[in-house]
Amino acid sequence: MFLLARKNLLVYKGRFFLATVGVACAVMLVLLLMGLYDGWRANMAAYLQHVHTDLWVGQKGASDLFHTLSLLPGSGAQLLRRIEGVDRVSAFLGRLLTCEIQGRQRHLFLVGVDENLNGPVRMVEGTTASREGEIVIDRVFARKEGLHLGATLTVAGQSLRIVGIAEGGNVFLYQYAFVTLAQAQRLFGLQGYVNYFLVRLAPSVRTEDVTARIVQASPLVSVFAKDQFVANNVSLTGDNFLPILYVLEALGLLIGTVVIGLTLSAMTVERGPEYGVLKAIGAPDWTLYCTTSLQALACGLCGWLLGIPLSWGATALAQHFVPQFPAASYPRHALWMLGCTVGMSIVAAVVPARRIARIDPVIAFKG
Amino acid sequence: MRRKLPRSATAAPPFVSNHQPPTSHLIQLTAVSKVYGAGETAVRAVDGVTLTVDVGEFVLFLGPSGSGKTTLLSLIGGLLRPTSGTVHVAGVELQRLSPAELSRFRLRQIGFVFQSFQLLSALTARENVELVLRLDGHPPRAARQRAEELLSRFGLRHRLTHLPADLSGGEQQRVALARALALSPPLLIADEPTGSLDSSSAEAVITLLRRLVDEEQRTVLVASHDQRIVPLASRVVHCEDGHVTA
Repeated sequence: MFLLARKNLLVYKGRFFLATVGVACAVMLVLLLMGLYDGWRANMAAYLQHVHTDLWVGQKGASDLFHTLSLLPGSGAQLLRRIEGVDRVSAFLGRLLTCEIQGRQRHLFLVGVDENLNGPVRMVEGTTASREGEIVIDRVFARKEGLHLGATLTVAGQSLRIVGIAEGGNVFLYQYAFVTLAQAQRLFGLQGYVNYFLVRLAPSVRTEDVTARIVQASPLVSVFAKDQFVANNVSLTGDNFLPILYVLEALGLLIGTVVIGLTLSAMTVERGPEYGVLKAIGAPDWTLYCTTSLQALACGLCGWLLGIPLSWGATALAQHFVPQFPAASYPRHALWMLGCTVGMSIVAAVVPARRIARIDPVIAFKG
Repeated sequence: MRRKLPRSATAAPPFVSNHQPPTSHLIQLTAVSKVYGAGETAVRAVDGVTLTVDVGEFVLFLGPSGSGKTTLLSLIGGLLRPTSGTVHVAGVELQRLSPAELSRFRLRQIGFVFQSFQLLSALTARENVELVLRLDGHPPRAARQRAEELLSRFGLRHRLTHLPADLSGGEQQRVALARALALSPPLLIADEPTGSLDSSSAEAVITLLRRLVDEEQRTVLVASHDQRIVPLASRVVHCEDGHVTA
């Protein structure tokens, strides 16, 4: 049935092309959304994974950087250092701030760097902020706002000179920027306070044991292992974002299925008498279904093949015009999409197959 | 209960059958009727036809339009199920076959030739013939070779790669004939095979049909208005209002 399927598609080149493009667009949309989701998650986690700590200690009830507030007195560091199994304690101070760039209000997540344990993921230009009045911004932010080394931006009424550009700090809605801890305390008006304590453990100490000791020493704090804290931050965004993406992905798959189904249905209607002839001369129904399914698969797979480079192009285009667009492309996305395309094709072949089943072979005698 | 199609009836011809009724007839119709619709609007297209056809006969079904010729051929060809009566072809009662078994039976035991050729427009002449062989599970190379042999035999060697639209009516009907004979079925059913042909093409097709009977002992059933076929037929069956008279 390969012969007939191939020939039928070649006779309707225009339709085959349109179906392929339709599926390719659906594949592109779904891959783009998958890339967006995974890119977002990866970006959300990148900086937090980079922070050198074993435990995050915050105010009771706080669980992440973006949705809950944690404020602790800096003196808490002394208390933590006395706990058995704690090797090192540093401060984390960071919050979302508005800055002014050429008269426009922009958002930054400003972090005060303490002992270089919570600095940028990777420096790509310049140096880290080590003095008063210096700031390191993310490359995405720099590109988006047209900023460069040596430029100044006004944060909380204070002019800061850009001394470095880093990467790995793009969380889509805003980007991380880094100043010294002292600078951050002044900008936030939080002298003597921190948001979280970053705790490094002594070698061969169990995380659970130290966590229990910290909570026992101060019932007013919440303690999170690093991975747990990263997961909290990622899931809070992901839990809200993912269902929306699922809906859009489902729509993409539905569009692809409908495109293939409509194309094949139209072809089947036009070829109805020929299917009748095939039935009359003895072609069993299943071979005709196979023909339709093969045609559907051909449309689907060609669309998939075209859709993959299209999604790369669309991502590159999106990142050109929207630098903060967080896209990640993995082979597993393409493989998953391949499975979906096969599924779409099989589902799309159902309607024309049912149509074929209803064709009466006597039609062959009717001219 | 449906019975399994005997292997002999689905295997490559020449076929034999060891099933009832024990007879030398290739085709046996017993009190066959076909009614379309129901109630007052019911149309009795075939009405109580009893008929036998032996191996190697060339039977012409003659009659005006609407006389039931095509319905009768459809019943013999297993494309329609009778409302009542039984149809035996090659010793197999067609009503007892499942749709899949009936398809296989038609593929291997019956060749069809239609008035308007009914070639698949997307396939070349060779592919149209090859397709039947491929449906029967022949390997592509063997199917191609057999298709080329058949088309060459019908004088179409130079038209192998032409699409039906690029062939004359006579050529298309010869391709259709080659397709019908691809699996060497013992029975050939032709509905108005000359109806869409000019005079010389029609004569060529009639001659080919007759040669199949004379040289290969095939059984040929033709439904036609064409009086030129009458002298070549072994038997003429007149159809009128669903009845037949020999």
